[in-house]
Parts: sequence; structure tokens; C-alpha cells
Amino acid sequence: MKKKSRIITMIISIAIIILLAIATGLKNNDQTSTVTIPVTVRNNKVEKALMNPVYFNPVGENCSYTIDIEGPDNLVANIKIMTASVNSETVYTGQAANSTVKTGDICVFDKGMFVLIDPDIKEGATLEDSEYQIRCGIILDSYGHSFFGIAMLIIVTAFFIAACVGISFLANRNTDREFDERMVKARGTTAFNALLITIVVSLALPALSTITGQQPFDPMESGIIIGLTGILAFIIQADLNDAFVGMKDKRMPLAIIYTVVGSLEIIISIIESVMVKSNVQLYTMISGIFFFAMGIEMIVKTILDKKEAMADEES
Amino acid sequence: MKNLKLKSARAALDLSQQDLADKVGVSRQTINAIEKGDYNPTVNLCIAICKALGKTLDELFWEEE
Repeated sequence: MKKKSRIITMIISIAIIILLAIATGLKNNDQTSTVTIPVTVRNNKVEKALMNPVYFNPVGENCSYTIDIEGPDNLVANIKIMTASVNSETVYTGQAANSTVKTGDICVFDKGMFVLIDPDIKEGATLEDSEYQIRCGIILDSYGHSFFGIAMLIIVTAFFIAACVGISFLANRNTDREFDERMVKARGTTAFNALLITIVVSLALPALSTITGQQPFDPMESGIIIGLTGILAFIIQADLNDAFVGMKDKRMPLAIIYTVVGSLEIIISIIESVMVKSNVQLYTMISGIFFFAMGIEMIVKTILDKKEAMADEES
Repeated sequence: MKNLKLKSARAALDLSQQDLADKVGVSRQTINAIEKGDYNPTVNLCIAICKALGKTLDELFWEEE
């Protein structure tokens, strides 16, 4: 009966993953938006009437925009499309006056995007002082390998994780009746604490963003921070409670390697951000902190452990 | 509460914490935690320790009033 329920649970889990992945892959992703920009012209100059950026969230690897500009012939719209990440980059610039513009394929890889339209008077043209309007119809069509790019990725990742869990379970199956019960108990408590920490961090990040109105991390970065915090909390707590995860003996060389790698990653991310004058390379920085913290903890713990063992030998 | 009986029984056989841990099949830290009174072992582990040291449960784990 137990075996049956396990198989049923497994089949249902796999079915949910596949359905979710297919649903994501087949998601209809055409998005449209219409904006009207009031433009005031004085002395043949546009009194800048920059519109609010329009946000789009394309799903897929590629997308294209069709922008329909309606307005006076002598009023051109400068179009700029930018990615909505911390290191925002311009992916398209163009110009149109009372016509339709197709951007062609833009490689986006599921990044959010802003469309900015800035009206100006056509070069050499004159326009009477008056109030004008530019009407912009923006159609986003994101497509291209959406299914294979996203759904297959989710399915393959899910199966890979499932296979890893299964193999590690089979490889580490404890057939020996003797096992360290204290370690197992400590790991259980530690895993629960780490889960609580992960939940708190995953709630605190969006809460802080809402309170401050700032969004310093994109969803991917937030996910990495939340995930690594949970893992780090688990590993460090387990280690401090003598419920080692992984290597039990000869831990010092590994601890030193972790510390060196972590320090290098932190230094590289800071140097890179100073030299390139961009934002701090967050992924490198986060993984650096992760390895550094783990390495330092392992070094301290190994030293304390050695002292304890030596004191026992002497007594 | 510290388990001095266990510590002295181990010392009498000239065993280190690591030696006893290897015999019982647990980590040295677990033996250390039991001796320091930081961890209450299960009956199975108590029996394994008693067998390794050639003592009874009463001799090692029974607390006198």
C-alpha cells in the first residue's frame, strides 16, 4: 500500500510539472498597449512631453514590436526600447513619423522591457505653435522557441533534480543498522530552522521593496539570494551541531579552498564594478559570500574540533 | 548532567572518544555529547555503547538518587 501511494504521488508530481511547463510554454504572449502623448510646440520646438515608459513582459527568447505612430507628419517619435533589469541596456532605437515601425527580432531571454517614446520636430520642418497629439499603438509579439526554450527547460531541470535526488537516495541508502542517530536528529532540526529562515527571507525581500519603493534585485537575483541563504543556513547550522554535511575528515584543505574562492569572487566582483563602472556583479558577489562564510565556519569548526579531540586524548 | 561513568569506563579500557565512536559506529562528537550530557542517546545506542565497553545499562546509564 505504501509503495502504491508513493508511485501515485510520483506520477501526480511529474504530471503537474509537465502540465505547468507546457502551460508556461504555450502561454499566449501577445501584449498590446495604446498611449497618447500630448505635445506642446512653441517657437518650432517641442516643450518636452516625455511619456511614461510602457512596460512589457515578454516570454520567450525573441520578441518583436510593431509600433504604430499617428500624428502630424512633421512630428517624429524617437523610439527607444530598454531592458528592465538593474543593468538596463538599450536594445532598439528608431524613429517614425505618422507611420508604422517594426523593430524586427529582439533577443530578450524573458527580460522585462520598457518602451520610451520621445517626440521631436522633423529636421528642417516647421510646425506652428499649438497643442498636438501623438497616438502610439504598441504591439508586442514574443515568440520563438517559447516551448522549447522554457517548457523543455523546466521539464529537463525537474527531471534532472528528480534523478539527482533519486540517485543520491539509492547511493546513500543506509542498510547498516548502525547509524549516528544524533546527527540525523540534528540535521532534521537544522533543516526545519533553515526552512524557516528561507521563508522569512522570501517574505522580507518583497516586503522591504514595498516599504522602500526600491527594487534592488530582479526576480532571478532574489531567487538566488533566498535559495543560497537557506542552503547556507542549513550547512552552517548542521556543521556547528556536529552533524556534518559531506566531508567528515580532512576538512581543512576544503575549508581553505572555499575561503580563497569566496574571497577571490568578492574581490573580483568589486574590482569589476569599479573598473567597468557598472553595478556590483551580484551573482559573483553572492556566491563569493556563500563560499567565504562556509569556508570560515569550516576552518573555525575544524580547529575547535581538533582541540576537543586532543584534550580527550590527553585526559 | 555529565556522564562520568561512561567516561571512566572508556578510560579504564584505554579508549579515546574516537576509538569508542568507531566501535559503536557513530561520530566522536556524539560520544563527546553523551559524556558532556548534551545529548540523550536512544536505548539502541546505549546498548551498543554498553556492549563495546563490556558493561550493563545500569552500570553506565542508571543514575543513583
